[in-house]
Amino acid sequence: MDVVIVSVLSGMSYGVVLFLVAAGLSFVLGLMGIVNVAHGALVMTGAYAGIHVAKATGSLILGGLAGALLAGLVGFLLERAFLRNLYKFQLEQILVTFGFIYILANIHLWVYGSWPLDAFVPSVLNGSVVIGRFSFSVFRLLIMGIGAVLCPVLWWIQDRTRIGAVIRAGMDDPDMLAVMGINLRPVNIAVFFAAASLAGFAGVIGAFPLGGVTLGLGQDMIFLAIAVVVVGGVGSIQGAFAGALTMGVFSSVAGTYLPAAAIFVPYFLMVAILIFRPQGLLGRSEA
Amino acid sequence: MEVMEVRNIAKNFGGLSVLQDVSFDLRAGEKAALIGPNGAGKTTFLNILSGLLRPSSGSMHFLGHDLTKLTPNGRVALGLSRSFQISSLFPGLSVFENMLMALFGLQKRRYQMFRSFTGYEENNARARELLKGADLWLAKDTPVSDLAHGEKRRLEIALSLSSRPKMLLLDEPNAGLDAAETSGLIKMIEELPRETTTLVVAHDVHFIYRLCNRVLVLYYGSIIADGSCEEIQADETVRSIYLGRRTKDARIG
Amino acid sequence: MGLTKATKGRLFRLAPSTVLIVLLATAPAWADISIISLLTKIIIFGVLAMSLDMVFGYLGLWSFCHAALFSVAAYVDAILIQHFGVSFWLAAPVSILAAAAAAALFAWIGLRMSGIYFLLITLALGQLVFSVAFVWRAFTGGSQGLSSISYPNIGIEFSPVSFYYFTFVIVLVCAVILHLLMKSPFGYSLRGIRENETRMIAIGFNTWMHKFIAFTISGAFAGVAGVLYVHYNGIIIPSTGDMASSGLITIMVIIGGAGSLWGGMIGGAIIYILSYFVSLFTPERWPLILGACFVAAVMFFRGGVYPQLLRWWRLASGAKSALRESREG
Repeated sequence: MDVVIVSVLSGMSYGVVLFLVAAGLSFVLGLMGIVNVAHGALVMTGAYAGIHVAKATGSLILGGLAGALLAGLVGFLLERAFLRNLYKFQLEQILVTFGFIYILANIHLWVYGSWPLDAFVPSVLNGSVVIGRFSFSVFRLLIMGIGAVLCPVLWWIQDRTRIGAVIRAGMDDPDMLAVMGINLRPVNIAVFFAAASLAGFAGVIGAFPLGGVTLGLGQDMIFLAIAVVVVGGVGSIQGAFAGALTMGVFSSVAGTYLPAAAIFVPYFLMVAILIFRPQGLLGRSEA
Repeated sequence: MEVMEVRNIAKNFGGLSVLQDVSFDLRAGEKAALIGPNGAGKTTFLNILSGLLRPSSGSMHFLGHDLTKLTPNGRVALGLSRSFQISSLFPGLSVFENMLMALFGLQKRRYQMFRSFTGYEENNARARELLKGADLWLAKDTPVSDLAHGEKRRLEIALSLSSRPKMLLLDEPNAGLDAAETSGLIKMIEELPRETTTLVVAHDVHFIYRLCNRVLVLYYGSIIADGSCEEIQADETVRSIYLGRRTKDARIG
Repeated sequence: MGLTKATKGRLFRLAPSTVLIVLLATAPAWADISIISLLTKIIIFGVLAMSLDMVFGYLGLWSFCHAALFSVAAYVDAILIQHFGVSFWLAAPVSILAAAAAAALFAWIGLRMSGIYFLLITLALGQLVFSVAFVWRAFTGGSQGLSSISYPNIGIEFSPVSFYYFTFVIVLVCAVILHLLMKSPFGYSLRGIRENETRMIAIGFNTWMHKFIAFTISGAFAGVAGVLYVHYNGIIIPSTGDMASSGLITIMVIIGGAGSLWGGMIGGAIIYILSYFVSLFTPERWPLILGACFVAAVMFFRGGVYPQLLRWWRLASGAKSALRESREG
């Protein structure tokens, strides 16, 4: 039983990382209808840059910010230069952004070399803390804490602020917003930038539960992020959160009992949801 | 036996109730028109009859068969065919190929993988006959995307006739056609076998007079009037709907 | 010469394909061994691309799992021959059937949805195959894959050149079958479904059945490519069937020209010839260039190279209605 609890908790910290990555992807897909397959590569971009900055300055916060900024910038360029010409051509978006996974990975190989990169763990977060019977990693607790804070904040922005309302309205009826005089263009770009930054930040702190950053992270992460978005539902914070935690916990628990099984969890969840509840766990049904 | 029995068909989209309680029967050979103000639900009703939409409740029987669970293509196989309000054709194929496609639709040989699509003389001959009847034979090799609006409408109708249906649903067949083109269309429909039952959604009074002997009026989700052309023309309720005069008692049926 | 206009038109239409076939048939005469090897690879992937074009270009289904179907056949063939000592004559058909069965299963699961959701399902299922290959070490050799697979054991002492001819004949047969298939009522139905599925249903077609059958047949052809590949390459590894590979096949079809059958092969030729040259100069930069190919294919080559070539050929030879004919591919 203790084993299950520990694996559930560790699955939750992994789930938070997935959430940070998937939330951005979900919003971009829901709002702009863009499938950005390079989103995972942005995680890698943020991770590499951010971890190097963190190691140089000794500050995880600076590293996180650096990673977020760089990933946001790359994402912004990607949207402005390419994706804005492919509005509504979803297959083409997928193929172009797929190409960018290769391009970005190769650029990183060029710049950083091929050795995998270890996570940056500041000394204050090193080690474990004892809670009751369990010994739990401090860093993982921090990640869960970040998730516990960010999720309600993002949810609050989505549901209770004007900008959140504009974003949600934009998903349902962009033409109506235009009629009302609200220019969706800067909102779209801002959402894309925010999504990319979040992904970059996730890369920096997520390196720890993921066990390091490799050049293949782009491909690995995007598949998981897509699975989370499909399982949780497109276009909502709560959907991304539900999907990410489900995925994280199931993978972790499955992995504890049958290590080989963990790799299959995303597929099964995804196929099952697509068959039985295509709009996702918390997704909005298409009328 | 009635060809078509419609009982209490209702259709809701979320909170919006488009059809409330549509019921009527059609006998073999009847030529009926379905009229009503825009947004009354006429196309929705045709979509339900042809199987593209599921009704929220109610039942339909065609030649004694229960249509509720039947797929759209299953209904075509029974003899229920339709045409679309906005021409629904195959733009990348030629007129001749469009016609052939419609002919293959109910044939087993549509799964044939080794003979040429244009190699079946029987289908070629029938396609020629149908295209000549629609005055489209000369344009047979034209890609459909290059056709004029009137030509597309004629092809649209011709495609729905090709399966020799027992009942034909026509959704505003003369939409966007001028008087001459409409005459051509009327000729095509009049040449149908007498036992063919038709239900035509239309707005044009003269068109309806030429083609139909019965009129059903759909108003906000229900049939409020059902009778011959003269009866409907004289009906007070119907006149007020179309002319906007207030009426004290709105009689249903 | 007393040729009618129709016959002349036909000759012009067949000329490019004929030239291509003659070139390929006489390759050993004008190419050295490394080029022969490259050509073998190109025509093998050409079959895979054509199988994808059938459902992608003609039918309009966004399938992201064809590399996985290909690798299913490759693995089954290798496993049967190496682990179980089965003869090639039995292993090859069984592998092709396995790929077709996988395709049928994927179609049965995925055809409930369309467009991007179909893509996501096939992507997930394709990656599932990849994961199985990765994990089931006892049969598939895990991440190392299976190696030392020799040329088919059918009583012929194969060399690269004779294997090239063996492959060439099989590929030609596949191309002819696919060509006939696309000109048949079934083939036209696929185009009809892509152009206007609602109308197809309204004239009596059971479009689900057509899609299902087409996908299964497509899987079988992907399987043929897979069997040829594993004997050509000698090695099969899990990543040959992952989503990146499926994406690459899609790019080949797009570059070459979706809906034209030959287009897939030409797209594949472009990619592999490019990769050959890049490997001579800057092999480390190949992923970058490949990524750029993805981007370029979509941004600049969306119509496809093959239809464009056909258009130029017809304009050059002055045939009338050049544009309309090129649509028939």
